[in-house]
Amino acid sequence: MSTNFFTLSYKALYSYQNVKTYLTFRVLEPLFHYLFFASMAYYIMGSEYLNFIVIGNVIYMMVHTLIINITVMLRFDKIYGTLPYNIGSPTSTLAIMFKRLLIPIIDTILTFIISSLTVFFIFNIKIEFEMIFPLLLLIITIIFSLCGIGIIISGLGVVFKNVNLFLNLSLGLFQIFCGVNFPLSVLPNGIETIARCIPFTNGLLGIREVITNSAEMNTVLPYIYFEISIGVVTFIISIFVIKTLEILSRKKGVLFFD
Amino acid sequence: MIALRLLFFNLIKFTDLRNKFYQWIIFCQPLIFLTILYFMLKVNPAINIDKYIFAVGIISAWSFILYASGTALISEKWGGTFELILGSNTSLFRIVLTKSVCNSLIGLLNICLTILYAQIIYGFEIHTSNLILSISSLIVLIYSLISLGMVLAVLCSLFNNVFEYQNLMVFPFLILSGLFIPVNDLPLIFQPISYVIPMTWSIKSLYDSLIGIEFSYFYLLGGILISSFYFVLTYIFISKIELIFRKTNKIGVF
Repeated sequence: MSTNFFTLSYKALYSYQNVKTYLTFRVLEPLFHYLFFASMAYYIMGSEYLNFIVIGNVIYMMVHTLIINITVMLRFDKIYGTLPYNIGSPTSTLAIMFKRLLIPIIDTILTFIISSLTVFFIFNIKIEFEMIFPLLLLIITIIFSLCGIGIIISGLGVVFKNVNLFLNLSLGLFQIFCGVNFPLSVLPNGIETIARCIPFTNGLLGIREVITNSAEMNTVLPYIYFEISIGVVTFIISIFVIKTLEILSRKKGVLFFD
Repeated sequence: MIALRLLFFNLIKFTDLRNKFYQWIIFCQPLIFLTILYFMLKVNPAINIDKYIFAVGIISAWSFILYASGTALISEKWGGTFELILGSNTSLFRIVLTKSVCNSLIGLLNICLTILYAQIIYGFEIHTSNLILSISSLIVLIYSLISLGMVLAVLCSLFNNVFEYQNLMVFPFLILSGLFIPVNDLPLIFQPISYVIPMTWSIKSLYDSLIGIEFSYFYLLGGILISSFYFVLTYIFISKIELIFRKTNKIGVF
């Protein structure tokens, strides 16, 4: 039953229905993204920042994949007219969303694996065997902390006509405030503190420590704890937001309109 | 005269600036890239900023043209107006040209807006060593974008899931056109491809005019010639499409 649910969910929500298309969009699209930002950083900040930028963007592409995949859940429901049925069903909207999270999470992890191979061949960024466990832990932590944000953005799509503006804005803000394309230290002091409280920032710092400085588990544990704490907070907020938006959408009668 | 009227009509009636995605590209995307640029410059303040501000403007202009001109032809099919256009007195080439000119003018607006943001919000000062040459290069850049927009209108009409393939096209063109990497620094195999892109010539010409190194009219002229070649190519292609459609009642994937 569950397998059927996931298969149906995949077929309904994903446009990459075969391996060829999937690989085209998971290999080429991220690769072009890395090359673009790597070239930008190389000529503006200098060659010593090349690996820094590439690692940042590999993790950013993972975040990009996850957030977009979660956001389209309710968006497509609304477009195809199934949203009122989902919201009106005895199962809570949040439970439906949690069940659907598995495919975006698998897709996100696959994106990371494919990107790691790509950057190994193109930029010679190696992931040693002993790095795998801390990296895996950090990636799971980032995914956990971002699921809440994804659910919030997806929920906004229930009430607002076009959720893409929120989606693009949040992805843009992640690029600026999470230290993807430049070190956090160049941000003004107050903003740097706020940036460290945003999901993804600490996870990325930890990942950079592991790949660049071969940091051991003990060194990255604080980043993991902090990322989990932020994740718990965003999850609680997302539950509250989804419930509120669900009530609001029923009151405003916007479930049927796109 | 008809072309001018079409252009005016297209700008006023058919340019969908209420589209949230276009609003994002025109008004917000330059801000995001300028902010990234601003903080990157904090790492290396010694670098010449002028050409990178234009680069941000070109990123937004290209994104807009890719999505707007790319769907110029296929959106008519989606909207059910393609048959009406084919049946009208005005040729399909002229209609696509009008749409492409209109989108490129908005692209120019994008570049101007980026410069405005850079000066007002980020306090960047933009210098040019030769204003006339910079403006001329900018005009050639817009001419290049019009020709590229027309090619895109035809090409994108051949794909089923056009938006996804457009996402795939955003960065390669920017990388190959020498926006950040000078074409000479690209691997040899990619350099001929770079020079086939009309933007490459005008971007090089624009950067040279900004920095003040010895300006070569070769790139300015090259941009005009390559773009003109694309106009001829799209004219032939659109005429063929028009003919195929009339015969088969099908276009591209439909």
